[in-house]
Amino acid sequence: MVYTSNNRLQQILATRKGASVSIAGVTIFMVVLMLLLAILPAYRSITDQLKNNEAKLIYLNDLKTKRADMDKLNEEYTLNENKIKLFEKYNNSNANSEVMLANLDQIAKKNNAILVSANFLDPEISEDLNLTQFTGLLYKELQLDFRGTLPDLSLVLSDLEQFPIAINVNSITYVHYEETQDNQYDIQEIPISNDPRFTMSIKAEYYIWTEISYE
Amino acid sequence: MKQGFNFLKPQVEPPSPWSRIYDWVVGTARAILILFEIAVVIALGVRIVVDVQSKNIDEQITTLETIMSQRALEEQKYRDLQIKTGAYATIWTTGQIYSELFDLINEYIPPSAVQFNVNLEGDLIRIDGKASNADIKQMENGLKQSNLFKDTKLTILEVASDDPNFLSKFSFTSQAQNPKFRQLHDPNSILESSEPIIEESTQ
Repeated sequence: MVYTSNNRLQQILATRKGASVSIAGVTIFMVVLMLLLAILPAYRSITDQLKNNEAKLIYLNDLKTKRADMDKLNEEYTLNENKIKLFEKYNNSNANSEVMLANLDQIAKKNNAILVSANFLDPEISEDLNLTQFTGLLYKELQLDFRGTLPDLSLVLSDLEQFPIAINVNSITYVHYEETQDNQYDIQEIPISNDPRFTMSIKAEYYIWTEISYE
Repeated sequence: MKQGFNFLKPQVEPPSPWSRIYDWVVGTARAILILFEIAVVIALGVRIVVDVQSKNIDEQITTLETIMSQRALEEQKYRDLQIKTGAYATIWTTGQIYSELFDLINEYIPPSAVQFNVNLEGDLIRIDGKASNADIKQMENGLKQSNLFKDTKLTILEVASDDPNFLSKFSFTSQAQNPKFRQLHDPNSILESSEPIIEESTQ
């Protein structure tokens, strides 16, 4: 009888030892194959998808929060619409020096003082560190001169400080004055008790928005 | 005794240790393979569930994004308003209040004073003029004793005479102890404005 390799293999596999070893080997091979080709890829894809879902959930919750906040803002906007319209009317890109001048004159008249002059300089970008974060915000410098008695000028100053269009006073100079013939003023030589008139110069600024950003 | 072979009975190999090993390996191999196949099926099931969740989340996101994109103008309006009100609040609260300082300084103005002028800038105060020596002294004491001023210095620029009633030229420099700034009011309170704003003419 001629023994070929196949016959020999069959003889080996026919024995209990050979069968055990071959079954164990095939099983291990199948396990490794299933691990590498099925289970590990499935695990990776599941964990990746779970991470993906988590990120999407966070985004979804953010969207829901944003929607709720928008609804709340809409409600508050509706409740305060008149105030907001008034606010936006006087906080825009329209410097409107004439309106400001009329109001300053009215403040002076109301307090028995006189607005002698008002200079409005060109708008500039503010260098105030508190305001640089607000892109598009410009300031306009004001130079104002009032005349009156000290109590009247005190009221003018107080009204300017509380004026709804925020006027920030940077410096004040007030001088006991006398009027000269050409309607200018000169520093007064008689005591305050004899002539209570003062002239008050204020350097201040107020703010407007550029058109590009907010109109 | 004669020992022979009974050819009618099947010849069975006598049991060896490898038989037991073989039985154990076959049983264990079957169990392992079944377990792994179950694991693969479970993984597939989990993957389906996770994919369905992902799809649902995507749908919700798409819906909300559509809604929010339609409200983009509204959002921009609120953002602009928030920026403007934030800027207004900052401008308002960085505005120094001088009126209180103004009134306080004026309490110390001597009635005999001439050529009187005051400059206020930030927390710095400068007062120049001419007054009697007695009034200057009184003013100096008043400013130095007040806890609203600090570092008050008097410089006599011209002394006319030692007579307390003669006018001497003086200069005061001082600093406000705690300069005050405007505060924001409670938005729920009703403010009485001192003067309504004169509005633009619509004619």
